[in-house]
Amino acid sequence: MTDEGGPRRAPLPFGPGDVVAGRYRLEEAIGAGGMSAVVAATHLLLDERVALKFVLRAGERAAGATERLLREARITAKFGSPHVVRVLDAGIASSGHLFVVMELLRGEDLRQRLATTRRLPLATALEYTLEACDALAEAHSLGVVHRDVKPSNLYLAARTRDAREVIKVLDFGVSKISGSPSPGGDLTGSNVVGSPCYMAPEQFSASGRVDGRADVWSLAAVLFECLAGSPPYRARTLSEYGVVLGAGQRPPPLRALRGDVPGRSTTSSPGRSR
Amino acid sequence: MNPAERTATIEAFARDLVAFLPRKHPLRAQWLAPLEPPEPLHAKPAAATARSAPRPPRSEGSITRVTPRSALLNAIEAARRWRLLLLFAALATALATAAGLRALR
Repeated sequence: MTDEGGPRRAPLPFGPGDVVAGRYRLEEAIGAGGMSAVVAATHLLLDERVALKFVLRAGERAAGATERLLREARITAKFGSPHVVRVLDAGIASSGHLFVVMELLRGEDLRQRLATTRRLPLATALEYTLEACDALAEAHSLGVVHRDVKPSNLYLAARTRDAREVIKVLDFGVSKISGSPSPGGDLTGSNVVGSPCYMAPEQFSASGRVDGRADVWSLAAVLFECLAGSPPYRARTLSEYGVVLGAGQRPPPLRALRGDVPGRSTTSSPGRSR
Repeated sequence: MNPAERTATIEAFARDLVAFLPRKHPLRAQWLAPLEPPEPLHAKPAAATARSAPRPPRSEGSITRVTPRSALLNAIEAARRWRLLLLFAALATALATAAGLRALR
């Protein structure tokens, strides 16, 4: 459902009108990255609109991306939280491309929302954060740490029955399951998993051994950005972010940036205990 | 910065945040209610001995959470049951008395 970085994008192996696995008629592409693409489709028997996520390459060249998508689908299928996108099916197309079928979301991600509104009302920011907490609490109870919580991985989906927006946590592709090896692929080309501005400091040194506190840090950084208009620590690259964190700088006090935030805020520093 | 000095769990973080929501907000109830964690994904299936081990009776070691609302609802329900019982008893007494008077005549 999200864009993924990659050096060069392979063309989508299917076009609108094609039928995949004998039951999904493809419509328009709704997202694409270096390794995968998401296409809106209709289940022909159920007449239900869904989203199909494809790995853009097939065979050995796609081994890493296929493993990551399959892993994400297997993890996500275990969740019952309404704040995680539902995985409905998975399969291999006749062309050899792996696809995962998910509920079709309508809306925009939090990164897009913040690009237009910059700041959110306090109650809205808290509600979005608490809904993300619901998804992450279930993930942590299942032994899964997301490791890449950031605004573009929090989707504001319009609910069908009342058009109310609910948060859906996306992209468990780089998550870590306790007691199992960490996925080999990562977001940066190094062994660090995460995104600058939101990543917990311990992810620099031990991405494979982090626990739920890393997600608490990242979500607190997202909440800070929703309220203040910018993340607590600004950096364009992971190395720059590492320097900022290493310097021991404190983020600016939230109340100084946003007058309506109550004084007893936990977000003056990401995930700080009181 | 040290993870040990930070909020330990996502639940604790959420509980900190709900304090800023209005008292009747539905998310408050969700986060202040107790949570029962499911089995972790990596957990192996329980061994046969563990599966066959007798379960303690439900009353042993289980905690029943009583909220003021649930206690009030229970009390109203109990009062309604007693009121019905008393009404039934009064009706039975009246019928018996009427039958007795008719027999005396």
